[in-house]
Amino acid sequence: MKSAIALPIRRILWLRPALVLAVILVVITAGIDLYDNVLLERILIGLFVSVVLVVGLQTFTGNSGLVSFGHVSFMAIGAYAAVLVIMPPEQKAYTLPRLTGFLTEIGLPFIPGMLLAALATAILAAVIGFPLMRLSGSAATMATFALLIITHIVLRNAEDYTRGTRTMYGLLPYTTLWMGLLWAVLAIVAGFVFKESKVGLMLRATREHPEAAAASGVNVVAVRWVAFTVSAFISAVGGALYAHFITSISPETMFMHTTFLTVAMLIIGGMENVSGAVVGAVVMTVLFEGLRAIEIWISTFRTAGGTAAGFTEVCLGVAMIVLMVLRPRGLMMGKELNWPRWLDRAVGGQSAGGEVDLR
Amino acid sequence: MSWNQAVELVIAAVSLGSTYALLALGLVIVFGILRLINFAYGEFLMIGGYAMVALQGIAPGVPWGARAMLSVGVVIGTALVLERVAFRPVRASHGPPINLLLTSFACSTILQSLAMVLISPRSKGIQYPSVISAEIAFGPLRIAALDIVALVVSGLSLLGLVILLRKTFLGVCLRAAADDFTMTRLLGVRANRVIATAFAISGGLAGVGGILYFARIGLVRPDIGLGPVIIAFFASVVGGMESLGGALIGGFVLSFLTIGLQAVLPASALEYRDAFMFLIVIAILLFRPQGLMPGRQALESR
Repeated sequence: MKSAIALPIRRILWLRPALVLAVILVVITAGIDLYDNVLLERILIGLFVSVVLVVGLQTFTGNSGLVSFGHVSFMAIGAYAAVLVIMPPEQKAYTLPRLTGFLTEIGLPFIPGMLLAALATAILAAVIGFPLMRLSGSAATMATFALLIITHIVLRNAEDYTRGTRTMYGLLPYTTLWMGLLWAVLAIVAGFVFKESKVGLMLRATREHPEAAAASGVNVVAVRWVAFTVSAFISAVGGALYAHFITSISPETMFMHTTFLTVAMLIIGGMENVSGAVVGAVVMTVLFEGLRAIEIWISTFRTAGGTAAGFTEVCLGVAMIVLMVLRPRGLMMGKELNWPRWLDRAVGGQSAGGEVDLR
Repeated sequence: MSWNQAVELVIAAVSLGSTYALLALGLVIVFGILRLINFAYGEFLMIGGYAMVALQGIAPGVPWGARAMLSVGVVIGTALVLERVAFRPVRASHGPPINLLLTSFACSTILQSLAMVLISPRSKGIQYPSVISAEIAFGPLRIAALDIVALVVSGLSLLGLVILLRKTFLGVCLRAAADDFTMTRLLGVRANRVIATAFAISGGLAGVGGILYFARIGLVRPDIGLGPVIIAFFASVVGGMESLGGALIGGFVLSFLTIGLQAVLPASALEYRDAFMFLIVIAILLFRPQGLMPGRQALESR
């Protein structure tokens, strides 16, 4: 009897960390949904968007070891592309009067529109990434940073499609609590499956020792390129979710600050694995929201219209440095989350050895 | 375009390039030793700008030159403090190299936000001597005095740097550390002291470069650092992050690109000028990933 239940579970045993993360997120979501507090709900949706973005970045940066500053440009492209295919035609006539071609006529439902936008972004990333993936080290970082700046300039100036520096407003709030949860879980599973896949393993080998990996028959440029494309897809989904969560976007909201925050979440959590990305997003979100509550509280004491704007950022910066000093390899210290040992014994699997440390 | 115009453009580009080169050098001198791309570098400039503003408020009687020197001193002090309280502890915890990068990101945010909380989110004007806004006529040519001043000041700073690096003991330690940090430490050179020196020089260059940079816009804001830091990054990356000569060349390449594109591009494409510039930067990176002037280490590890 026992094995009848255990067998299908054993088959997905390698997905353990993703399952654990998913279960935790589902429980939290259900709790918040029952508690029915608007502020907490908004914070949680924001967290889910961050999870998608950070897992997207982790898929490339964590597995390849190349630090990318360019992924927020895919977030931004995904967000604007999603808006262009999802916004109803009658609203476009008003918001984007100079739009031309088929874009004026389509107004897709949210999920197909988002996937289409993400696909388009991934194709664009594949084209851009093709030459870029030959670079390593700081040259790669700088090239992706250049990409971020170029994207920003183009979004600011392509007024017919993006309204330029003016805010694109009136987007419908499709990213609800459960919608956010769905895509956060999907991103976690996708990131984890990619990491454990053959390509993911080869990519992690190139991270540890590019020459040895190449000598073992790994096409370094090709595996990096695949990861770049996949991660751009996930980042674009994150962008589309973000746009339909905040309901108004501008190029400025998806530039340096967001880049800094997503990179920080990834490193604070531990960039080598998906759990690190998620834990980093959770910890930074909790810190950020907690500090912001304090900042608002302080502002009530400052007279003459003064605010404490900036207090949050200062404390967050200090906290990040302290965390890095205490946990240099991130909060997860290079390990994935795992479920408790007794569960392993219950399903009759091998004892939980955790993942193989490639170092 | 007439000959005169072309010559004027070249002079403007050389002058701008000398400022860019200074900025890039300040970044490379730290990168050479720590392999750290210091994002907080732009905030060094911002601090210098605010020091100028503060000094012109507190001590308007003091000559301008002395105030400028003092503000450079303030930047050097800031750089040393950051090295001591942020970079050194993170370095000592032996994490992956990216941690230092994030530390610089964090320092950048902290300084920017502090300026916003403690000073003001709005911009403050910086006073400059009226000489620099003059135009000087050389026969048919009209040259901005600022361009000449920038060129002279950058030249003198570079000369000072070269003397420091070539003729002093600390300079020799620094160059040795940039070449092979581990070996230098094994020979008994104190790592902390070399790194602190590098940060001090970086701060000094940022201070001087900042005064020249702000002379073109005349004001300072909490978020003013992003522009110059991007320039410094790409100048050093294009030139080669391993060598000081590379930073120099990178600065000039970037200034000639900026001014050249400004002159060549049609008016309708002008808003995309920086996008074109960064595309060219990516192209340079693709063909010369180590920069135009790779250092010795880069050549060896190929």
